[in-house]
Amino acid sequence: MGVKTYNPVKDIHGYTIVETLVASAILLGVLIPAAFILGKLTIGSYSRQVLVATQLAREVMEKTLASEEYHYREMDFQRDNKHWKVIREVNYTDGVVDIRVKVYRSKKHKPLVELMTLRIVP
Amino acid sequence: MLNIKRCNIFHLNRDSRGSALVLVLVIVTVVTVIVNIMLIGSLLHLHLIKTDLYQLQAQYLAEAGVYKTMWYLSGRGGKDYRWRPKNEVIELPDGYVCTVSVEQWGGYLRVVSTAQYAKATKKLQVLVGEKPSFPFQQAIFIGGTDYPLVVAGKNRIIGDVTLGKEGVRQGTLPGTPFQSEQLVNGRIYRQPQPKLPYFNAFLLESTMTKNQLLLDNPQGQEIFHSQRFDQTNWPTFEQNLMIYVHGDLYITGEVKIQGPGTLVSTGNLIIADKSKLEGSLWLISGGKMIIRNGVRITGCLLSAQGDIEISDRCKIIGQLFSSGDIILRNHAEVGYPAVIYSVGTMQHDKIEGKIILQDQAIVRGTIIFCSKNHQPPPKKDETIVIVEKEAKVIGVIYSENNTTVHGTVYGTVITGKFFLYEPPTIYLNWLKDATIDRTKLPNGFLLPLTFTKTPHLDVVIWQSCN
Repeated sequence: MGVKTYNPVKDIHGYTIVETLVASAILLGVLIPAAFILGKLTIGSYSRQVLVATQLAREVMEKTLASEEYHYREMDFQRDNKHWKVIREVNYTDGVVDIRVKVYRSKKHKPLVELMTLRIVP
Repeated sequence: MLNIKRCNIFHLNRDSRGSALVLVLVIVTVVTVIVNIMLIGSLLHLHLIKTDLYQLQAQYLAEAGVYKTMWYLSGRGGKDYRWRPKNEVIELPDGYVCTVSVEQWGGYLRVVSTAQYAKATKKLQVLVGEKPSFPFQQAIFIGGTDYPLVVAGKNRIIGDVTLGKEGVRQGTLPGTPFQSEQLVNGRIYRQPQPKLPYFNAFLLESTMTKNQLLLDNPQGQEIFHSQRFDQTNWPTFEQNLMIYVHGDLYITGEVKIQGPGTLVSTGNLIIADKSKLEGSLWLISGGKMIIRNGVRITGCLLSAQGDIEISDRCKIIGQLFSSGDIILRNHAEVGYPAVIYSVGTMQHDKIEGKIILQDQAIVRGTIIFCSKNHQPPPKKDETIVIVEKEAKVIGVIYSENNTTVHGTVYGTVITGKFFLYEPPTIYLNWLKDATIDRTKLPNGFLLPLTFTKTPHLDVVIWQSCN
């Protein structure tokens, strides 16, 4: 009575559970969002850029083929809250015109997407 | 007792520590797996987007292959429309290449182009036709006579007219007053001794020749008696099979036959009862070909030594070749890109082979009549191409000889002369109760490769093979 008994089992057991939960919480709370954000920011962002660039390239190419406007042109687009530059290049050779549509993210030198096709001109 | 309990509890405690470690490891593993799945998901998403991009790039390269092939077929690069490459590699800009094949399909050419970009492969199959040249911009082009075009009854001619120096006049038939608002709603070009535009039957004739060869040389699966295909025994074509029937062939009972393949009958070929035939099927008859009762035929070539008769709301998207008459009646329809070709043979001052459209029959495409070896018109005048009242052509009529139009043509009529028979009188180059409206021919309408030496080609039908 009145004597406080030492209970090592209770203490150690409690500490282990806490340790486990904390470790789990760190892993779940930090690593998963981190991986998610990392994936989204790097691969996801790049995927999104390629997707938008592909859609833009297709759109410009189809409009070019439908309107038969076979001449050089630079175009600016705002898509997905980003600025895009699309360049249409044409090259005439002996009754044939080859058409290239290149899609750039601003201030980048290499096109993200490039499409090439060919048409006959009178 | 107390000591024993403590010992047991300490023992349990050691177990608990072990469990925690295992639990941590399990959680770490689960988290790692989840993280990996997320990353793989992102990578997979990127892969799908890239695959889509590569498919698109391959698609445009395959299209480039089609147009480069058409460029060669137009008479450039040392080739012409007779060029028939088979899986030939052609070079495209920027070092790209494409594999192309060309084969004849009736009056058109079929081009198959395959291109590869990264790991994506795209195969396109297209039907190639000819862009209409100047004569086909007219509503009427009369190239065989200096007689004036006499317009009688209630005609509507919308579009330009090219004909002889006598021009266009108004005429009155007994009991039929002139009712047209104007002679021609368009310009009239008069030429001394007008001639029909260039016509080259190479593709059409070689189709007829190939039909004859297939008839003369039995191949594939031979059946040595007349045959009836119905729902119990209809053939399935594998690897471009040919079935050769020595006798008549009947296809009845709502049969569905899928090509590609060739069906040859040395006798008559009768298709009836809502049967469906599709794919690149080639139907050849040594006798008559009769198609009736709601038959649907898509993408096929139909060829007969004798007459071809199509009736009873049958709908055909294909090409018809005959050495005899071709008769469409009772709501029969031949859809775009139709080619209806009859080659007339002179027999006793009379031409065998007519093209007749009756009873609301419709043709969307090109009707061509030419006499064998371009013999002069027969001494005995008769109509060779007839579009009767309520029949309609959306496209082009080309007849070296006489043409009668009482129905509607949305497009162009090119003919030696018009022919009108009001018993007991024959009227040469008269037109009565006809509608010929060039403005209603759809844009992008293409002809078979027959009307220019160096044709301007374009794609009639695109078809993706993968």
